[in-house]
Amino acid sequence: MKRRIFHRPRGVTGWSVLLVLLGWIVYGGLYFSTWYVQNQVHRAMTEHDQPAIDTWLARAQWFPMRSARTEFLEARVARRRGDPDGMSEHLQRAKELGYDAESITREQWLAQAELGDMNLLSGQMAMMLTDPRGDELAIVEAYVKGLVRVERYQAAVEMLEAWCKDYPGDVYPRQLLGSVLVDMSRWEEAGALFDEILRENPENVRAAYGLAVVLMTQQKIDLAVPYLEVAARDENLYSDAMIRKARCHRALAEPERARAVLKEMVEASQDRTAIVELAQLNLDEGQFELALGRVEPLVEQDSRKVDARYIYAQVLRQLDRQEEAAEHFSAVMEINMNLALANELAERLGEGTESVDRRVQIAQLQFEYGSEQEGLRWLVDAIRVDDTHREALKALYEYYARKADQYPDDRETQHRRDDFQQRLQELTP
Amino acid sequence: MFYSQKKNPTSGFLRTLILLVIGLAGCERQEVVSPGPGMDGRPVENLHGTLEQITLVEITDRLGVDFTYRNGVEAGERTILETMGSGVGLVDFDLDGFLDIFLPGGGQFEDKQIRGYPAALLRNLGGTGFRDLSSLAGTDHARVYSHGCQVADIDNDGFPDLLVTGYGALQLYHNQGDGTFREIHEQAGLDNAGWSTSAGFGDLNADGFVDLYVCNYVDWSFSNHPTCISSNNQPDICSPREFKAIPDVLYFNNGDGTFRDVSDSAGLVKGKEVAFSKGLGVLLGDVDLDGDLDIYVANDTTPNFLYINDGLGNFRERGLVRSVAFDSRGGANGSMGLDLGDFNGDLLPDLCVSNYEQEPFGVYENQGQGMFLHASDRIGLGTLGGVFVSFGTAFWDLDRDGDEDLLVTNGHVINHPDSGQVRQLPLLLVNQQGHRFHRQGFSGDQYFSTPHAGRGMAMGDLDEDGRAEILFANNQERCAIVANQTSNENHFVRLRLVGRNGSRDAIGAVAVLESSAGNQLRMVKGGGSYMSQNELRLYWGVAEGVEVTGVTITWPSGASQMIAEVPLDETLVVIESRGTGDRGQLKTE
Repeated sequence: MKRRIFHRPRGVTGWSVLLVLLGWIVYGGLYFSTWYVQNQVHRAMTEHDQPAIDTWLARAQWFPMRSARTEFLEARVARRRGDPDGMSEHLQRAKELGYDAESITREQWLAQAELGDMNLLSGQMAMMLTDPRGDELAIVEAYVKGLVRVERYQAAVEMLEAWCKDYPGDVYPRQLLGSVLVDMSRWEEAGALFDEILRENPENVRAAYGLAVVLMTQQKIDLAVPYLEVAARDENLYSDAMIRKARCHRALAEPERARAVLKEMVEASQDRTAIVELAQLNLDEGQFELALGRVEPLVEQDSRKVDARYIYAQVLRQLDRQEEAAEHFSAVMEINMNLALANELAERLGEGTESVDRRVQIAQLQFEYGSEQEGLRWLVDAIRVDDTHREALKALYEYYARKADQYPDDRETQHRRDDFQQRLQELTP
Repeated sequence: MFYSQKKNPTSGFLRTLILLVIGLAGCERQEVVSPGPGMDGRPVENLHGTLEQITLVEITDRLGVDFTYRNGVEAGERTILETMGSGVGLVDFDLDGFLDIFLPGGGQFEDKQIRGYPAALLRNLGGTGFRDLSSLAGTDHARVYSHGCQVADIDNDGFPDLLVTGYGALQLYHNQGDGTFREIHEQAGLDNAGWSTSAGFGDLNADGFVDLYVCNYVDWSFSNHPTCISSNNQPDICSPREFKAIPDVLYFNNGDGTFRDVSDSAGLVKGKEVAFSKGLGVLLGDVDLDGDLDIYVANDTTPNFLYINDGLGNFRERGLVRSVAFDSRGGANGSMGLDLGDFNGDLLPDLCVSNYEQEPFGVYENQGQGMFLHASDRIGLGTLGGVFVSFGTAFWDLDRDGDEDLLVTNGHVINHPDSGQVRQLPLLLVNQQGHRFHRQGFSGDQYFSTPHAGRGMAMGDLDEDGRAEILFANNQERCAIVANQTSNENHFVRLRLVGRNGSRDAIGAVAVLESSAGNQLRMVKGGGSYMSQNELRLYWGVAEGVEVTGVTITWPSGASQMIAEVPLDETLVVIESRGTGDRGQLKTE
């Protein structure tokens, strides 16, 4: 006799129970899928696999569930990308969606640690390490970046060595260690480390790039070229690797090869550095008109960049346009003088509130003679030390007001402008 | 990947990290003395696939030389003064035909008082050894914390005199012609009380007597002695950026054994540009080949100066517009040493400048009329800067193949550099037919394969064998003499010029050797390298099989002299003609 396991629901109650069950199944499935995808993002981040991070993060955004955690992960990705604004934005959303406040604070500490806040490094970070909550490697990575930022290389090396020792199968800390050794000019050790990584995986682009840098410094220029070709396969390293490759060819008395590399870059992306290098090649070879045609637009775009402007001045001199040349030479000198002053001020900087005026002064010098990015960084740094500093807030308000005029559709910029305006108004006169 | 590895949450890793975090403020690293980058000890192949064969052998012990420049480091004051180190001068003070050695002694600190150590004057015993004659000769006055030295015949009496630079004063020793010296800086009016580093002699105003350019550095003193911390979080030497520049000084020779300060009237930088004047090296040479001496100054962390002479001793600073103030990317470097040579054989003098770490070793190629372009990237030197803090440098044809090679001595200035390499390898950069330079490696326990606290460097043939020795004046490390024992069939031409219408030293003279392999330019230069004095004779390498067809000398007086018969492998003394009816004199030494 045939026994029926499932019976057709009878009546309203039966259908309701079934619908609720189905709802729970769908919800559970979505919840599990979101959890799975978010874990894949976390895993990809731990493995420093950027394409996988991008893929899984995009999938995580499909799901409406656990969106607070997705925002949190996006904030972490933005932090690692070096995008503090993006990070703050996502953290704010995560907070609004109810994400754990302590985790958000810890993420902010990591961001500050990456900027080299030494008080934080020797305070809260130590606390975080005693209770890592599965984030020990993220903490260490932020820590190492912070130490490198303040040029405490030896401490960074010791930390990375401990990391390498405990995770011998992980290539990432070894790559980082190699880069720090390069920063320290410990070329032999860096070279050996990159070489070791490449023996395990000849396609490791970071190690290939690092080894090429070491070989160039050791004047083994011809040996560096194949490694730069490997490194250039990586989207993020492409530009630096190709520029270095062109410089190698130039140093090997192969200007045609250098030119081909640079032209490829310019055709692909109008790479500014490549244009400057091409102009330098033209200058070397006495092709002054060609050089002029390359650097003139760059000087028009941003007259603060001395590399292009210096070539421009030299080309004008060679073309016997002496008055114009003199004007640009003077400008190069003025930019140099003022950026040197900014560097001097930065070298003598303390952490106390009395340093804030100096930070603002450095910001102003950077805006005028360096770059907007650097100027903005110093202003943000100034209000980090004293968030009621009128001049810094005013400068930030003015900066975002200018940007908001320039990009009227950018709501984020408008929001920032309004925020700084409000903070200014809240200050007692 | 580590993700799949199971770790104990209280792993050694975390424990180590926590310990590191807690101990961050006090972390300390032992100083590493590494043999430095790039050198696997084997000779390297050049572009043509052949092995370089320049052989350099240290002979300090064999010559009985044992002198150490002392900087007072034992006082633990960590002053920027102790980083500057030392120069070395080559001078045939007794005119016996052999170059003697002069070595400033340095100084020390006693209860924040700055004291000097005596210099050493080592007499050459015919190329076989040296004897210290400092006391007998009267050059052992420890008046200043000394650094560098220069040699020139200030009164054209035929005997070379000595100048010593240092903290707070200059010392000028007048050679009395009897093997002794008399200190005369006060009578001579050399009243520079700044902190002088390098100096250079040369007749700048065409009056027949050598003038003097003195580089001053910064305004450090014990009352302006901040505490500085290295990136390794340890007390260390302060950067020159912590101090204000003090302006250089230019003295014109009055011709009667006295000098006058003409810094203002002659056109040295004034106003805000004085802030750049952190001079460490100076070279006097005719960079635009217009018949007068120009002045190139290597400044530390600030743009370098090029003073162009109008022929009468009036100068305009033109470093920027002539492209020798900055590197190729328009940035100022920490420049220390310098030289003038013709690396590419185009008969235009090129400049080389040694710089701080992470800055390219600078070679500026002369484009004609004293206009330059930074050529380091193009000739294979652009990436060399990495670890080296470079000081003394010289163009010299060590393999006598007809092109000038480059020598550089290196050593770090702070106690705790990130690289850990306080002592560094010296460099030999072999010129490959004027197209590029290739670094030659050295193996074993040789001077060039071991790191040193390099500062000053001078070139001169101590044993008259036709191959110049290299003298290294190291900082708080014994000085060294390295012989060039390169064995090949090549030859040399050497001239000693004696001026009669201008200064006897003929600084500023330009000579072009003509040969079947092309022409080569050499110049008699004032200053150069770092705080040091090379021999003043002119030297050319002549490759085997090349026929020398003559040499043309343009004297500082403007007179030109052509010599058709040029002996190989001998020194030809050329005495300037006095004018109509006088054809000058030639003799071999």
